[in-house]
Amino acid sequence: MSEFSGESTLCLVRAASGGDERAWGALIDRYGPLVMAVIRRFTLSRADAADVNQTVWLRLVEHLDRIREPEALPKWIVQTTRHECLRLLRAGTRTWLYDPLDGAAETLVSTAALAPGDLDERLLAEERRQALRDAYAELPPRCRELVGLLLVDPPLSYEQIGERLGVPIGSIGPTRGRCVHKLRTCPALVAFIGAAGQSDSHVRKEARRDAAAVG
Amino acid sequence: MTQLPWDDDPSLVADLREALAPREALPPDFAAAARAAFAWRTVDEDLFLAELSFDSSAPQGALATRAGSAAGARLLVFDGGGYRIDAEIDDDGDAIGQVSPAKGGTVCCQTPDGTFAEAPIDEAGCFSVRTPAAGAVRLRVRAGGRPVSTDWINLGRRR
Repeated sequence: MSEFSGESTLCLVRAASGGDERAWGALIDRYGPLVMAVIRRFTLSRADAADVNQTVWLRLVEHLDRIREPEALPKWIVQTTRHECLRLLRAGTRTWLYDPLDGAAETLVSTAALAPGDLDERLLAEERRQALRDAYAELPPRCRELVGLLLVDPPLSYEQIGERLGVPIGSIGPTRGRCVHKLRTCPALVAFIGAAGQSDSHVRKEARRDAAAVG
Repeated sequence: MTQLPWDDDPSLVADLREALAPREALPPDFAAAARAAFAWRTVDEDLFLAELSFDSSAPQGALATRAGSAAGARLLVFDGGGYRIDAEIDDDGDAIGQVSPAKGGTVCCQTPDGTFAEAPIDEAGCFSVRTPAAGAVRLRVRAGGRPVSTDWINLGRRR
């Protein structure tokens, strides 16, 4: 774990914005896998994937100062990466047909096999997982340790957890409740839960538009 | 997933377990490119950013392309810093465009490695500047007052 593992995204964005290169590196550690996960949803050549990745980070550098709500960063990254991937796919497969009877519009034919609804559900799931990871990373160390032990599969008994943490068994239940509450009310998650319904319909609308444009 | 996710602790913990499963990291060269991007952080407070406001190759922009424009050309519009920059990147890799309001000056095409090409802007605001065959670029306009840089755009590799 790096020195930034417990830092909030807000702190990292502010530090990077102020010129702290290590904070920028921590943002890459935190969000690089998200960029990769989105790129993996598309069929791109490696060179194209590298270009998309580079463009996303260059854009983010320029927009660091403008990020008012760092909780929205996972969404920004997913949307920007998705947009750049779709753009490349379309540019690579489009054919322009000119219809003399309808001079006002050209018809776009694409051979890209995209299933936008399916795709967007998956991208939304990526955003949700990232929000969980961010919230977990922002927990105080003791809470992170306890929640980490709760995740062990097969589950540990309270006795085992108490032994590992060096605390009495009776305190684990209440501490667990407090830590899970902390996790649930972390800005990264609150923003996501609050926006869930809205972003859902937003993404669906975009998916429909993509479908219409492709078909 | 329910409408209100994580409304009970077990489902929250289950989702967290899934979220914390090992993930694919950026390949080393991708990570290096991401780190190198930091060098382009705008340190010059006097520099304006002109944001991409239209892209004919965008998923939603393609249908808005005007009939009769060159089939392979990509139309871009950037707005910011009191300027509007229109550019069309043609099949030969030239960015032909116009800066308004027109004040003369120079336009420069930048890649993540540095300046790729530079060209004058004429009195009508028109310019033509070379772009590389592939990858990320942005235009930087110097026209008397504060310089303006556009958003980075990806040229792709299929020209």
